[in-house]
Amino acid sequence: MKGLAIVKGLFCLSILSVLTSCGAVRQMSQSNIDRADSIDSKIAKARNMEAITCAPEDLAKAETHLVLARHEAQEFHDQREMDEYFQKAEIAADELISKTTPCWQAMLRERADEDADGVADYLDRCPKTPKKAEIDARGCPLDADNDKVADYMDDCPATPEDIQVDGKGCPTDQDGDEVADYLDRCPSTPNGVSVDAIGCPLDSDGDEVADYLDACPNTPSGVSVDSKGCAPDSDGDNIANYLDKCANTPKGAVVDASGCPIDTDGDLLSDWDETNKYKTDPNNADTDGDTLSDGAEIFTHNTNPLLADSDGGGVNDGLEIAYAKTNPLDAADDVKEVSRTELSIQFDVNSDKIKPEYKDDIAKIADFLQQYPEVTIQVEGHTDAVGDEDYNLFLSQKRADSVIDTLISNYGIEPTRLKAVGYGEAMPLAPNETKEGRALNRRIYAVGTTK
Amino acid sequence: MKKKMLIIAISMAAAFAVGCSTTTVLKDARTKLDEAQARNAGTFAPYEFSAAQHYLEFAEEEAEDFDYKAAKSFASTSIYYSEQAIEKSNSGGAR
Repeated sequence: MKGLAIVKGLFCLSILSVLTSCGAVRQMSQSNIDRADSIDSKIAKARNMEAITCAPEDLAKAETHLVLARHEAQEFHDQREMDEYFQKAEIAADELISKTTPCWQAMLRERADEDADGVADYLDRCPKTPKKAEIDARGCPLDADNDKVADYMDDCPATPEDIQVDGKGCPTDQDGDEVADYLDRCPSTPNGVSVDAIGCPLDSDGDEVADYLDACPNTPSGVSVDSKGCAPDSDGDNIANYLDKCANTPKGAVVDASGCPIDTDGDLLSDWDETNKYKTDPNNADTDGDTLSDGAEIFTHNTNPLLADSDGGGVNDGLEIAYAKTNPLDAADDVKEVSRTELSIQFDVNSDKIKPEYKDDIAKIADFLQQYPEVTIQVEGHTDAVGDEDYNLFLSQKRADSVIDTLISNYGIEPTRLKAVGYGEAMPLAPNETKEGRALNRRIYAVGTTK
Repeated sequence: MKKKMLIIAISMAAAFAVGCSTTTVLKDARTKLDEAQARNAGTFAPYEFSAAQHYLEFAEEEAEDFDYKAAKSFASTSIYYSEQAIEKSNSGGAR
């Protein structure tokens, strides 16, 4: 009986075993399903956090323990045993999460690259670099000239070392003259002033006064200048001393380019002297009309330029000097005959016609008469002693008359100022026996006299 | 009586047969796991190797509890992971 009972027991055990191995399972309770799902979601979360990389053993442990817990939950176990399996799976899942989380955060940090420059943020010293910038190994924009302005923003990417730059990376230029301060020898040049290569205002004439301050920008080299860049002008005539040929021009005198007072009428007296000193007419070279220029009267003859006859002797200064050869300052020597001019007119034999070639001689007499209105002329005709004496007298008169007629008709000389006298052969200059003597005796004079 | 004894014998034989096949699978699983370990799978394929270890452990526990189906299933899963681990180790851990 006892043996049968043992056999029966073994049989039942075998059946149970077979039944078990044949998959006789039961439905999981809802609480176990919920626990399994909770663990599953933790594992899924860990997987999403790269648990396979961060904690592969823990992942395997949690997953396999969950599989085991689920398997056991479907078997015939009491709840206490179930709790043990699920507890193990939960512990494994929590450990998995706790190991994976910091690892995942580290990975995120490593992967993060906010500015997408290829350098992860945790390594990137410049995590906000713009996309267009070229960067170095630290993720910072390149700055070839080390001016602390990145190349991608640097308008002057080759600025020398240690040069102060502006926001665009260009060397500062305080005075805005387009010459950087570090090159600028004159860093305070006023705005708008043209400068040279070293930033200094141009000084075209090299007088050390910059053009923009130089009232005389073309001063020759070597000429000393004042603070305005102009050469001294002692007499204030606006012609610098170095150009001024008349360095002591009176104040107010109008001067020419050489700094000398203007002499409008060319009488050797400046206009200023004529007006202010001699009271002569600056526009008339011969103020008193004595045929002597004002300057000649003052500097050469010491006569009065305002008086035609300085000595009051009756003959004007010009006549005295040019013709009478008397002293214009001595009235006593004034003579009536102020000139005696021999005309070189040759007449044909027995003719009183003046040949054209002698017109110039007569023109000179006409000019003289026009120059000295107070002078009258007496034309004197002389012959040699050949032939009849009366005829010679007649012929000499006719020849003198021809000269007078020419002066009247051709030059408009007033007839009252002219007189013709024929002397015939009565006043010979030389003996009539020789040919030379006779030639000398045939002559005509124009004798000038004053009233 | 003889007939009853025969039924009992057949039943026991069947139960032992199932246990024997499970033993083979468990043995295969152990062999695969050892091979994986020999190839440094713990380094090159830690997840797969660890999973294979756990499943083999569960399989052995289930076998002790006479749950041969579960033991066999876990052992088979262990073999699968061991093979994965071996393959990965052979390729130097590359996935």
